[in-house]
Amino acid sequence: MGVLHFVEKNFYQVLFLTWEHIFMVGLSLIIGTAIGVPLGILITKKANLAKNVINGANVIMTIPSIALFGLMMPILATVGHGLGKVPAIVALVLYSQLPILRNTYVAIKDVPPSIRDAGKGMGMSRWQLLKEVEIPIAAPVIVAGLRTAAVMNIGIGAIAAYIGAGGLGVYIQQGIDRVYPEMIITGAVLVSLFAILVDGLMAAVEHVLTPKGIQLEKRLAQ
Amino acid sequence: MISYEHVTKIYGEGKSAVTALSDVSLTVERGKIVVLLGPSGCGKTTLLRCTNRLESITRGKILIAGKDIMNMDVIGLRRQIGYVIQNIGLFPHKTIAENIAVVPKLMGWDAERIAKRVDELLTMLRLDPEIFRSRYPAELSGGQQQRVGVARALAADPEILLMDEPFAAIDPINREQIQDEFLKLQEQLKKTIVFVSHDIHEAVKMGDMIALFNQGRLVQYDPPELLLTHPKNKYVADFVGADRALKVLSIILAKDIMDPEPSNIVKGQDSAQDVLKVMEKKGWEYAIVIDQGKPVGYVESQNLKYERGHVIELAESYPVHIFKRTPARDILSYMLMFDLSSLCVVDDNGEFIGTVTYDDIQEKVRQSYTIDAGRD
Repeated sequence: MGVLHFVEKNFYQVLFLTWEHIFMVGLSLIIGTAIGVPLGILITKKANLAKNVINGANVIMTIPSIALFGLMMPILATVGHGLGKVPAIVALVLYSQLPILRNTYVAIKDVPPSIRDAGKGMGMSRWQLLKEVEIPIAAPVIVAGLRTAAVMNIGIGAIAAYIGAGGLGVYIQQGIDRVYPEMIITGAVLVSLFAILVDGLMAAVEHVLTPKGIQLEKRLAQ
Repeated sequence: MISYEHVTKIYGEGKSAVTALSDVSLTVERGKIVVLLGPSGCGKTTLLRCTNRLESITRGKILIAGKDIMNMDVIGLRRQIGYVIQNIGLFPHKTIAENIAVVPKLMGWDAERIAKRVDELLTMLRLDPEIFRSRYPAELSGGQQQRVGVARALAADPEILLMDEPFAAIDPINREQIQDEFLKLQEQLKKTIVFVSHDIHEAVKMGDMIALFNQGRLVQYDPPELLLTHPKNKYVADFVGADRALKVLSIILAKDIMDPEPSNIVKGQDSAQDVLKVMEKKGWEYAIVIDQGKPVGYVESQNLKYERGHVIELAESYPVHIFKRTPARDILSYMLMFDLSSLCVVDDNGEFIGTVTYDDIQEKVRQSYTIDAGRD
């Protein structure tokens, strides 16, 4: 009962921190998509670049989040943003690159050669082929990458509270410091709910963006 | 018309270079089907893909209607050539109508014209537009998908079709049928077609001309009959097979050998005794009974001897009739099966249009072997 009481008492703060979390994860996902999807498509046309870019994204993924925040601080401090939302969002964008890039790359690469050949042979330009054929066919897998990135970033976003980025992680961090279980549970439950909700939402987006013909193909192949 | 002039294609450079095509020259006449035939890796598909510049050639020239394709805009070139590939390559996310509409849409046709054309093509390929227009490729059988592949290639009414083993992925029964339908269609459309195949049966059936390849070289370029009856060397002879004389039978069609006006015809209402007299006088072994334009059967003199009445009641009916496009191979098979030396050819309404006899077939085969192949 203590948790509900806590939420009731701090309702507007809870809303604000939730909004901060949404903002942080949402913005990083938008920026991450804007970089990752075009880059993922670009590297499908350049085989040697692909290896390096994906390896790079892999390395970033390997760095523990708290260490990455630590590394960001001195670098971004030179432009006056060592603490707060900026380093958090930069880090989240970097983390989101691996799932987004890799899924985009694999999805486009996996378009059957016969289909690509047919498009080319009928006189589609490279751009038309991409827009009309490759992207629609690759869409479900690309969105699956965004889904992974979003869920992952909600979790990592909670840790960003340590560098003063705000969000629901603040309750967890301060609750631990102040040995205030209601506060910890509020933060933890809300972050988890948020992640589950977003996962469900992205699953729906994935379904909507899967062309009907491909849904049928999958269903009939079973 | 497509002219290949000394076309050479080399992959790679230096020591690792592989010659895919070596000095290939041939001309595809307007409105004809040329089959590029050979085992896998012989260069036939490469030559096809050079035609719409999906591959570039190392040396030589390809001319379409006298114009060098290297001087044409590559996108424009591809849009004016229909392309059908082995794995069909239908776009899974587009409906059948959208798939067929690809090239017209690229060429900027308006929606109404595209819709009309799509329905026209579906009807032409015997797919009901009402049913198939809004379906997706995954819902169609292999044969239906391949028909859509053909419709898509024909969408913008191109002069030229390139077909890369288009029917290879279809089961044998449906393949025969779709080949027949395609040939019927070609009789009206008269497209210039380059058709890749590894199957000698298909090549003989589909081709007006066959170009047989081996290791990137053009070995023989001749009409199917000549390829079968006059193979240029051992490679060709082996490729076309020891039963090549029988294969000749599959290119000879009933319409090539039938006698449209055989003399031994009698009417159904003629009396048995009159017919018998005529038969004895003219020395016929049998007479064909026709009633109201349709063949009823045949009568032999020994069956008429003690009979009165009309021949229509006495005629022995034919177990089977043949059509204009029935190959001699099937006709001969019927003759052996039913122990008959002649059969009637009928049109689609069952009306009598001629006869084919065993002697006609034999004579035609003899002729094809005596064609002077002195062009080497």
